[in-house]
This record gives sequence, structure tokens and C-alpha cells, in this order.
Amino acid sequence: MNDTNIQYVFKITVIGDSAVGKTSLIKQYTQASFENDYISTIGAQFSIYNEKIDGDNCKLFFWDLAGQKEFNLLRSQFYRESKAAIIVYSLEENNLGIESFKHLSEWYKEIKNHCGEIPVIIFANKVDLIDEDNLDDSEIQNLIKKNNFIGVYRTSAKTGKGVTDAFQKIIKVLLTQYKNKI
Amino acid sequence: MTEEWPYVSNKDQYVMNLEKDLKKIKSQLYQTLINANKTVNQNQKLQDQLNQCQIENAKLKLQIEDLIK
Repeated sequence: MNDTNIQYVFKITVIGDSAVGKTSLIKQYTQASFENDYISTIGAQFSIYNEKIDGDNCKLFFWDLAGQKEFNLLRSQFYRESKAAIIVYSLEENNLGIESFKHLSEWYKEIKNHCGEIPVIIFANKVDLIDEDNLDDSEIQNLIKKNNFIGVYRTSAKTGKGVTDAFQKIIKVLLTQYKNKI
Repeated sequence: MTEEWPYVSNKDQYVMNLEKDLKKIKSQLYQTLINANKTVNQNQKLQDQLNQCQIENAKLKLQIEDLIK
């Protein structure tokens, strides 16, 4: 099968509470840029990114779904046919950070309802705003074990730290899964 | 006084028009997004089918080569 020209197309959904940095993470990964001003996503936003991973041509469709409650109904339409999901929460030590962590299970429930059992990865974003040495990972690790998530990656959309590794992890899982099927 | 009731000032009218336009733009944006999503889903499905065909094709080529030998 060496002369085949296989291209891998993956639709990946990115969800999580509003203002945790979903759009910025995608922008950092696909364009290597960051904007300081926060502009909340209206409904949904999508990005196409072509990347060669371990010699495989991948076309990635990232669906960035607005976290606000007013988009609940609209959001459900975009889950369909997703191959994987990224749930983002914020590591900020404030209300937004605490709430976004608490809501991880709810976001996962929503994915499961619409997509069934697809690979799910957690991005713990805004790592640049905290002292990593004081971070207690036990709660998130329990959640990962309990729900069989791929793992948790600490990211910073602002500095770019961990972003490429985190995105590539989920893509590599999808590639392996796809190749095992064919 | 010939003012109509309820009285709407020019400024209020302007804001009302803006709100109406915003509602229209949002609705158009949602429709565009829904259509884009359908296209993405279709694209993903078609690429899957194309990949399957290419694999089949490669297998058949090998079989033909074996038969020719």
C-alpha cells in the first residue's frame, strides 16, 4: 500500500466554559499567535489546519464551540461526526478557574450524549498564570482514570507552552485508531 | 402636536434598527456555520471513502502483478 495517497481528515471539537481560552489555543496551534484582548465566540468558529504528522498528511477541522449557555441548543448540532474532543478548563485560581474545573464532567456528559465513546483529552490552560510547583494534580488525575480520558496537558495559549504537544497527542491517538481500523 | 404615539426618537429608532440588523446577522452567521459543519462532515466521510478505495486499489494492483508473474 505504499503507492496510496491517503489523507486523514479529522473533525475535532473543542469545548469548555467560556473564557478558558479555547479559541486562543486553536489560534496558537494553527497560527502561532495570541491576542491579549478577549473576544467571546459567537456560536461557533472553525479552523482548518493541514499538518504532516509522522509522515502522514492530516487535515484537521477544529470546531471551537462557544461555552455560553445561550448557545446550548446550537452547540448540539456541531458535535455530530466529531472524531475526538478537547475539553478545556482554566488553571486560574479564581472563580472562573474553579467553576471551569467543576464543569468538566458536564462537558464530557454532553460529548458522550452526542458522539458516544470518542477519544477525549483535557487541556488545563493558562498555566502561565500559576505556580506549577504548587499545583495539586490528584483531582484531575482521578477524573481521567474514572472517565478513561487520554490524559491532561498543561497548556498556555499565551506563551505556547505545551500547546503543540497537547494537540499532537490527540491527533496521534486518532491516527493510530484510524490505521488499526483499515 | 402631530407626534405619533408611541413616540420614538431618531436615536431610539437608530438603536432599534441596529438591534434588528444584529439579530439578522446572527441568524445568518448561525446558518452559515450550520452549513459549514455539514460540509466538514461530508468532507470527512468522503475522504474516508476515498482512503478505502485507494487501499482496495493498491491491493488489486498487487494481485494483478502477482497474476502477471
